[in-house]
Amino acid sequence: MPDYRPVETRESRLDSLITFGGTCAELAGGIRERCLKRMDRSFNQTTVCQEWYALFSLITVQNSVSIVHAPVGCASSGSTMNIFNRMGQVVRGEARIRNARWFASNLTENDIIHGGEDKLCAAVLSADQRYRPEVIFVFTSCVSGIIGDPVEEIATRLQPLIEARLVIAPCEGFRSAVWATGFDAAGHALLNYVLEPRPERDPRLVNVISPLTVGRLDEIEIERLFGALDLKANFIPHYASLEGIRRSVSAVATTATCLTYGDYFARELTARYGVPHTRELMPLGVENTDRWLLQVAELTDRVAATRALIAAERARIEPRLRELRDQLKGKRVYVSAGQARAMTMSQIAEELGFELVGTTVYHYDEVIADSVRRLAERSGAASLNIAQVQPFEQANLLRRLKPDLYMADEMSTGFAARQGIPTVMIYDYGMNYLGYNGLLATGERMVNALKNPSFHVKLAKHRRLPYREAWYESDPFAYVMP
Amino acid sequence: MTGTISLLDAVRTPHCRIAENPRYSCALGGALPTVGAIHRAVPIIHAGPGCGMQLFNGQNYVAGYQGYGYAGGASVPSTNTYEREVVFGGEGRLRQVIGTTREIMDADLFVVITGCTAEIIGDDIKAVVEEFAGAAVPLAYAETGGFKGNTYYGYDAVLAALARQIVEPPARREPRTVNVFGLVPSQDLFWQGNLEEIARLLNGIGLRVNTFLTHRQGLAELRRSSAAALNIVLSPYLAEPVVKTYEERFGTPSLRYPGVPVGPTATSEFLQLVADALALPKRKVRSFLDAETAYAYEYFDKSSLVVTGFSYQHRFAIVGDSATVIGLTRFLADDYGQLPVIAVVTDEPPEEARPGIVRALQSLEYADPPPVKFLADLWSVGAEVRNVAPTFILGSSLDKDLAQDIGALHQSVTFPATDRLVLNRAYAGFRGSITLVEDYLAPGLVPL
Repeated sequence: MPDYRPVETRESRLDSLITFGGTCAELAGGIRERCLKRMDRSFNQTTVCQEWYALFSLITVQNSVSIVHAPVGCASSGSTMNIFNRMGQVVRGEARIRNARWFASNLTENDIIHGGEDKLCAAVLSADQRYRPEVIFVFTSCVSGIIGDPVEEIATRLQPLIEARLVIAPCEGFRSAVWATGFDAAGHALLNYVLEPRPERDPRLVNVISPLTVGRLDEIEIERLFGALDLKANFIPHYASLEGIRRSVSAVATTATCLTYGDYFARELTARYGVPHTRELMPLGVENTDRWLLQVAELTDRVAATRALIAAERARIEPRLRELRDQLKGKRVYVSAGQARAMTMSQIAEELGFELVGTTVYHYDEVIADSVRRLAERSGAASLNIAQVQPFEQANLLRRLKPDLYMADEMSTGFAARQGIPTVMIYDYGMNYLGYNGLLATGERMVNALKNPSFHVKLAKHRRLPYREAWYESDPFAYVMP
Repeated sequence: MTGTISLLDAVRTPHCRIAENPRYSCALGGALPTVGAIHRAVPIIHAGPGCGMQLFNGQNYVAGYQGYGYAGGASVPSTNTYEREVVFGGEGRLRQVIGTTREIMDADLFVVITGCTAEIIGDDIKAVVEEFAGAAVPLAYAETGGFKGNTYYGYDAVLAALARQIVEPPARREPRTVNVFGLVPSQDLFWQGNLEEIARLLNGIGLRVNTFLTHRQGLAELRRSSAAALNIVLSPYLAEPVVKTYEERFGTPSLRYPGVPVGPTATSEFLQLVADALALPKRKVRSFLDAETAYAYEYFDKSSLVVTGFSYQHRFAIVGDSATVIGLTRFLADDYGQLPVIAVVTDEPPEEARPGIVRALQSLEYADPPPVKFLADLWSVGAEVRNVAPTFILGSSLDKDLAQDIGALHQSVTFPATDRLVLNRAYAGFRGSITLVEDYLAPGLVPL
């Protein structure tokens, strides 16, 4: 019988924060003294809700249909996610590229009054009849939550009528301020409705929980490293088959290319099925890749071989790394990203020779506590902003810090461009960031971005951000309130 | 719900219009790009934390990667209401965020737009907004809860709200000024280029044009738009609440043209209607139309190398919003010798507007009238299109799979389009029709 309770929110489970302004050393101090407080902002810019990330987490599962039980707008980013879905097939060399399949139950005013049960049923039955999928995911929303539709009860009654496995992911946007709760909501749904015990163990199979922003080239790099260690990677859940997801219970270990993303699913695989998991953040940069690989090695009894592999890889890339260090020496860089990527991307400052002047981390929780401590030892004076984007704070910081390069995703690269700062996109699905080769590729993109800043420099002369001049003179964290 | 039978009945009930791969978002999704297109206007979202990015991604991003705009994407001020507001109300939070927005954001106009949660919990938006009456930067509001309607509804709601709250009574009439409505930013992929071309043409017959959404027009143009002699609507049904408001408040007459005029025949007809309504000098209008027509035909003649040289004549299906479907179908059929085999209208126009849409699509000069279907759901669209076996699908990028399945050519001309970048490209008017010819002939040439 599935566990119908929604997943615990990140703020409740991990004391997550989305508001902080100070330096890296100050954050590390707050962690050490256990005196970090949950704070709010009296000014906010829009962000992403957990429903978005829950849908983003499951929409690419093979032979699936996703249903958002909501007004039509809550499914509108399906088209954005379909870009990833198609790109994923392109880089895998698929001959016939297909769209993802998603529905909105399309709740309207009438359903707010009378309930949306009929529409949810209609969507589930239509999805099943039209496509005969293996699995149908249902995502709840603010509206379905407020009007109190008993989605799990409806599902229990619907399941015998359809062929697909019906999977419910409760993920009402207003219930959590931390969008990473959506990752957990997706994992929770798979754990409750899809996974079952299996007697066999595959001693070579390692689950690699990967967010959709970790691209195919990163997978290829991991497959290359695992191949050298006689391990097989089981990438889940993106582009995975239902069998691939089910097979995860028989793996010898679980790791994640982004622990922020995989934390809950990995913990629960350990708790429910005894598959042990690693706690390293992300194999990005030499040091973090070493640590990440060694943890996998410890769980799969391959420590000696892994040490040899690490030594060989380090020696292999060192000449090129030295050239990149020369080119990036003294360059001042600002990084903005989700917590695991923000930490590891900031930590490569030492390996690539640049100076870290600041980092925006989309949220903070204990998953990155050790990593913050290590970063503070090297870059303690760097600015540290915890914010689910909030580009107004960043605009102020960038004006003060005047970095040579800004590294982030498309939610904010365009804003930094208007400030004349060259940018590097660090979530491009078609590029490699992870592993030893990923570090070289990242360094090369940084060098290229610095080589010709003409677009950014000239754009800044003609376009501006929507903030008053007075804002740039104010404390960047003036709107953080206790 | 009692069992299988009633469940299957539920699927067929008309009110159960579920949407597979929907081709629009919600009212808030229409409000955001509409406010965002007004020069130096900044939206303030009163809704849950994720509405802004969900709808930025779901509208602007997938409309040919149209960018953030002045204060779009992750920079839009928002109350980000959580459980606390859902339980205790969000008015205090809204008041706070309006106040801080005024301190930080540089704007000529703020517009509070609401999402589902704010409206379901019953916040009194009007009361909160009125507390800021008389402030240096005006503040308007529009109720755009997502459950109330789709993107088109949100466009109408914002413009009608501005017509009530921002537009001022005219100091004096301007007999040669017109307002243009009906093109929904991002939902019409080519809204910007189309409005620029429409404005160029109206300028050409001697008119000043308010589009409010292009040419860096904003608060000033909105305020004095009541002086216009005519409201022009380029849609079979949109902007009804806004033109009604102008009519009631200022007695402004309106002229509705059912769709975006594309190509010499439709554009000449449209401009002639405007000229007649405003009694413009006939000779001047005639000579402008003649020059524009000659310009277009010079290029159509050049395209003859492909269109006659390869016998480029397709049985085409067209899928999208009513204004674009009408405009493109009429051009391709009336001016360009193509064969329409089905027109699928996906914007769910009100019942009373449907006969007019069918008429516009079926009154063709030479071609057989195509069947017209009103459907928004991907599966249903696919079933209808397969039935008529077209050799070319003009639709959204969602229709690429269908085109591949039936071996038809495909070009993205309606929302969403993730396979092309759209900046100032236009299909409207004379020049736009030349661009459309380039895009229509492109897929056949790609493999060469």
